Amino acid sequence: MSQDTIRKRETLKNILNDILAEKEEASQVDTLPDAMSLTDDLGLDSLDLAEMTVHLEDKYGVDIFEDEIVDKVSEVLNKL
Amino acid sequence: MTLFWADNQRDIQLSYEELIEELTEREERHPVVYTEDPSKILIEILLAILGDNDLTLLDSEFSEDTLTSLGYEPDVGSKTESAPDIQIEDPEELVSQIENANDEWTLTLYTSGTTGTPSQVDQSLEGLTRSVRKDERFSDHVWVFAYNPTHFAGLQVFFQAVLNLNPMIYIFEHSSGQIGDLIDQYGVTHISATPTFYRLRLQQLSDTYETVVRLTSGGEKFEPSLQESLRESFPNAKFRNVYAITEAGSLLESDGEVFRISDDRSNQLKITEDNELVVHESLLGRSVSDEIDGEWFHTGDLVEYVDDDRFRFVGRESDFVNIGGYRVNPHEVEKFINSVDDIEAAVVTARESSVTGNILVAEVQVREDVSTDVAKSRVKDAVGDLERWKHPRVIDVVEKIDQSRSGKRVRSEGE
Repeated sequence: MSQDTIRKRETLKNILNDILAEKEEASQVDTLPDAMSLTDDLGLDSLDLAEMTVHLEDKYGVDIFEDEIVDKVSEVLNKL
Repeated sequence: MTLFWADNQRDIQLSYEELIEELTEREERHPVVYTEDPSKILIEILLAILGDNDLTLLDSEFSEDTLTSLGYEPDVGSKTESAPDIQIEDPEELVSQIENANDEWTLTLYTSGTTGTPSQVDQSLEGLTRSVRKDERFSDHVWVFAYNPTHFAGLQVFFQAVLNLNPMIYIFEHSSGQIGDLIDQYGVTHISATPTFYRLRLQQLSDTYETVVRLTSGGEKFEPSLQESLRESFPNAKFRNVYAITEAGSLLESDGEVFRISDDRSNQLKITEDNELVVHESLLGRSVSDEIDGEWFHTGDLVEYVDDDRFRFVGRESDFVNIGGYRVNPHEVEKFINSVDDIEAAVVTARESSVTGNILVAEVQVREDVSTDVAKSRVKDAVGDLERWKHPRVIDVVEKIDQSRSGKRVRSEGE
């Protein structure tokens, strides 16, 4: 795995943990496996996904939901 | 036994026969409903119609502050009164009693309104069932229920299903995986949902569901690419886009994003010179028609013509922004943040989001001795009691807010 991918995964994890910290009944994540689903595994709703997207857009200049819906960690990282 | 309601998350399966038992044996009813369990809401609606009792539905997501501003006590949902004496023998009689109920019966619900505070709309039974189609051919329809049942769109599905004695499968708070299983398990034929729900839940389905013959949507912009991708999961489904407003119910229908006003509605709907859709008072719920000036209700929804008489919706004219289907006034949120002592100035704006249409962004300028972390936590506390969709999801602490931005701002493109 390239350093670039590791950094992106770490950035995504930090963004997600900030969002999860504000949600009731949600716990922080230590790792982000490729197959993890943002909605089914982490319980993110549309507002959470919108928040994640703008933070990623600010950092990488990419709107990951612009063309299609992404849900798995690997799909998000591929967009960045 | 014919299924009435299935809610796997709450482990509820209720047949029409069991529903009738519930309706005929109930000793108490709730004149104001404020609960998270959709089946309880639907049963209270039927009790109220059959007993000709007024009923008020409060969105379970309303905060205590919102309830107070509407004049309700926080425990309003627990108040009961005697249930009406209802005699029904079988499901067919349930349908005929609803059809023969008092047309003047009134349901009170709340729309997000023009001030950001929910405003009351009283809908008659006639208004609520105006677009329901009843036919023996519809008896084998199986609906999913993908809305908040206190919202107008949810009530439309409810009346359409009940008057044809169709099952409703609750999928609103379910994950994509669960939804796929439920569509299979119950042989769902009809899906009605918001574009946001289609985008986030139904577009994610990886299997093909051949039982589904109709997809209905409405309320927000529905892009053709979404329709195209849903075709893969639902190859046998026809698409229907409905334009509805809480104040008047369903008004326009199309098979895509382009609408036209049908000949029989040409005296009741029109497009103004400013390209705004307006609705004649004869189509409005009573409380609304009392409030408007003149004969026409301004929806605030702007259209653009694609040819002489066909048009598509392009946005809203007001300052309000659409966040996941809810109308939000950024000024209202801004006022809450500006009331915090440590904050010198705040500006709340909408930022476009491909997920929810918009989300709110707060820019705050704080006193010198206040750290960024403390400032952010103050902002979160200030809006904590507001509904979730009103929370700024991005908080930027800045040295100085550009004064030119605190006046009249363009809050997002296309509004």
